[in-house]
Amino acid sequence: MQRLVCSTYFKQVLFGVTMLTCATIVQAASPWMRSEAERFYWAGITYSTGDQRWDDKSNQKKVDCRNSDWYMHQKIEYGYSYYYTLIAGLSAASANCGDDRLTGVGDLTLGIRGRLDKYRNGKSWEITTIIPTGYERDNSSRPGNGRFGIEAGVAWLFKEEERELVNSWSWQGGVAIRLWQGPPADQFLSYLSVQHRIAAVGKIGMRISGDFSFRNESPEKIKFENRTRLTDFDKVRAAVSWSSRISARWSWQANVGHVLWGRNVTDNLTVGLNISHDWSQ
Amino acid sequence: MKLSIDFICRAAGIVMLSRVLVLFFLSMAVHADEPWTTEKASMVNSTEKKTGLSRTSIGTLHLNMRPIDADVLFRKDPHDTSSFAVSIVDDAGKTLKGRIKVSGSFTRRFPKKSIFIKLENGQQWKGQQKVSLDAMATDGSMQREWLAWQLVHALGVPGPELQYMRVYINNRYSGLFMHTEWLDTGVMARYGLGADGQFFHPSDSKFCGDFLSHHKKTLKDCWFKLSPRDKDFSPLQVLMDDIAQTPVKEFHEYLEMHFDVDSVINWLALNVLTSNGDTYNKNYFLYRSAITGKWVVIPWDYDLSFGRNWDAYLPFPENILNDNFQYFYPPELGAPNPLKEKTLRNPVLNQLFTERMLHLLGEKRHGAAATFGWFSPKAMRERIDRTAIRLQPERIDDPYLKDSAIDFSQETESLWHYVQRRHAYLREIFTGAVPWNPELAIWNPADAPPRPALSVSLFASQQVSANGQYATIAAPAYGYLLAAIKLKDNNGEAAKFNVESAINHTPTVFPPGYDPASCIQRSWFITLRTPFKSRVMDLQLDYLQEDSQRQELGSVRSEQNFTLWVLDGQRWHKIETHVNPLSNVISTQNMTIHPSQMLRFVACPESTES
Repeated sequence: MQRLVCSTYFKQVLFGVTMLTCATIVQAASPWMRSEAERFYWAGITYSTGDQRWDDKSNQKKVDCRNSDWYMHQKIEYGYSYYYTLIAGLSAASANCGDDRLTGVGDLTLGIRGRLDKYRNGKSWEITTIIPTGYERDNSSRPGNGRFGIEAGVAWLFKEEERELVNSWSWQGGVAIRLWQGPPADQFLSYLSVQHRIAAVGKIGMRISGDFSFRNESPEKIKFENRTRLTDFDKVRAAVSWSSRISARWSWQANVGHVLWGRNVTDNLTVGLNISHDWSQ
Repeated sequence: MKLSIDFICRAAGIVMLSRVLVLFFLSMAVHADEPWTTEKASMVNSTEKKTGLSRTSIGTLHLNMRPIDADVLFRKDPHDTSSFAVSIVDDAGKTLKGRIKVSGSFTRRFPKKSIFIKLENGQQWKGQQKVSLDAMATDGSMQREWLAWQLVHALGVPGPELQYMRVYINNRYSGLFMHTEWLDTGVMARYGLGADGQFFHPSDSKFCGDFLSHHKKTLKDCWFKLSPRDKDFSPLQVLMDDIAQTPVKEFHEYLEMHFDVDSVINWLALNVLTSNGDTYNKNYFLYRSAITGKWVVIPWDYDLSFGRNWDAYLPFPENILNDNFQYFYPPELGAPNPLKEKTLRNPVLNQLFTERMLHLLGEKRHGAAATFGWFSPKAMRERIDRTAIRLQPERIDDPYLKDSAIDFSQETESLWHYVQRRHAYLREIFTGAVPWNPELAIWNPADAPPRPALSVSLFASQQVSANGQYATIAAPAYGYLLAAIKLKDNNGEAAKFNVESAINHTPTVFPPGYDPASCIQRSWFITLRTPFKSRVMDLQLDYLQEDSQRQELGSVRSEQNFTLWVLDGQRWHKIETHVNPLSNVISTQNMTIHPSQMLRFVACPESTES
């Protein structure tokens, strides 16, 4: 019975950790400022699956169930002025692992982005608040942390040539600090990506991201004591992507990613498809 | 003699009539000699009073912005479309508030950018809520738009007023701009067309505002409806159908019924004179007046005209911004458009068009004296020089121009070179041995056959008058200029010259020590046919740089280094040379030529290193 309980527990833990980590799979600070009155909408669907995990010693272990998780992310950006872009985002999940199921809306993010360089786009700072929606925060299977958080970071974009020119390279990177109200542990977030435009066809990209815990919070007091590190994880993930323009205002992107290394995370393969639209009034 | 009342009345009538005739012919003489006053004085004054814009003086505009916004406006990412708060102080000292932003498409990349100001509702500057200021960044002469619109006004075509404007931002001089009156229904009303018509403008980025049948389904993508602000494109759809269905032979009847015919003829004439190929699927406006029930065509955007040539073999932006030069496009140039094609193919309308061209070229009078010879080299030279004199001091203080690599004198000279050559070419094809035949024209550039190889020798023999003007010598049936000669001596008599050009040929005879591959791939031969007296001449010789594939530059691409050499039959002489790389003209002055002497010219780089 004990073994069954533990096995069930691990599934729940991993399920929850998966939800937590994938709920924040939307990239951290973006370097791109919108023009005044420019609107940008981004929507993505991600499928995540895996039957292994990285344990608290960063060893890979097999788990009893294979998780099969769908996430939908939405984000909208609005150019309030030349100097500030307003950001809002929301995620939702539909996931299962063995007998555990979850469907629900995740965290709401509201933020503001500003310029680090008053002349050139591609150098920005960003502050985002994370607001839990009405899910039960003590449930190990929950689509978010259930705590208020704030994220502050900077991001850069370096383009080799003017963006209309073909066969050009661009590099993008960002770092951020994410602070939580109480547990979970605060995090250091980072990413680096490179893209190569191939003629007028599209862009191929590669991205590596690292989320690292400061391990600075007291463990959450919850039902099972060995779930103390539920909200304390490290993860390094790599992804490749292909993006292309559908029209002057619409774009799409497909991406595939995998966790390369972790601590207290599932070893998931993720496949994503997203679409974006920008327009002005 | 008995003076009857009847006799007295007749005599008085004759006197009065003769006075009227004298005044009439005097006014013609004044207008023919003074291009700047081709407009009737009352018309000019009336326009200035209504718009506050002057065609003859440079205005001043003071803008106030937050210092950080002023700093950012011209220096930010060229693709950013943000606006900033701005205020204008009008002539009465009143502060007008609005928003300012950078305008234009690829011209946004230039350091000096065009700007657009929209004032708050209820506020107007010079009678308009919208203010458009063109930086003229693509036109080193700063005259192309100005010249085109002066002709538009001279022809009486509805169009915006323009004025050069000194613009200050926060009391700091930001440069000379061209203020173009915002084209709206108010401008149409000023021309008696009413303000409640149907106003359309092709999209600048879609290149499909051309009445071609397969663009009918995408009408709302290809066109903007400016007024009234509804989604009713049916007037345009009906127009497209009518144009498509009307046979060529009946097109004059259709056009007379549904168009201001003059506006169509003038539009075509203006495009042909200026070699404006960037039109017919964009860069014009259509207005159907509710008063007349007819469509009017208003031309637009001439910054890439007057000899500028798009290069299909170069990537952006060099395909647009280059020093190619071309003046021999036929009248059918530009994107296919059935309005253009059927107008020019219809015999009645073609006759009108031909007469308009001959009139504007100064060959044969078919219209108002004010516009006769408007495009003659002499009239245009005066016009260009007068404007250049006005603009030259403005450039000294312009923060974007004073250190610019642009050679203003070369830019201005290239305009005149273009007019010389275009005039000679058009004169040849409208009056020459092989006049232009619209039934043989290729109306869609995509259907044009591959360009023939250009290696050819062209010959012309022509009398040159000693009138102090350049005589252009063009190859018969080609219209292609071989040389321009101005007699400088005080002989007073005309002289006959033979001129021959070996085009796209590596010189076979050349100065010692030179690699002929490094020279311009052309030789010129000038022979004085008139006997007995030597003559002194200024000479212009042309070379070709139509595009990156069709040019005669040889292995050396720095045109400024070319020097003319002349072989007088015995030895080579290096002569004083002036090169205009924008118009591809090499010239020399005070050259002596003897009767029956053939002078052979080549142009080679100054250094003997190839």
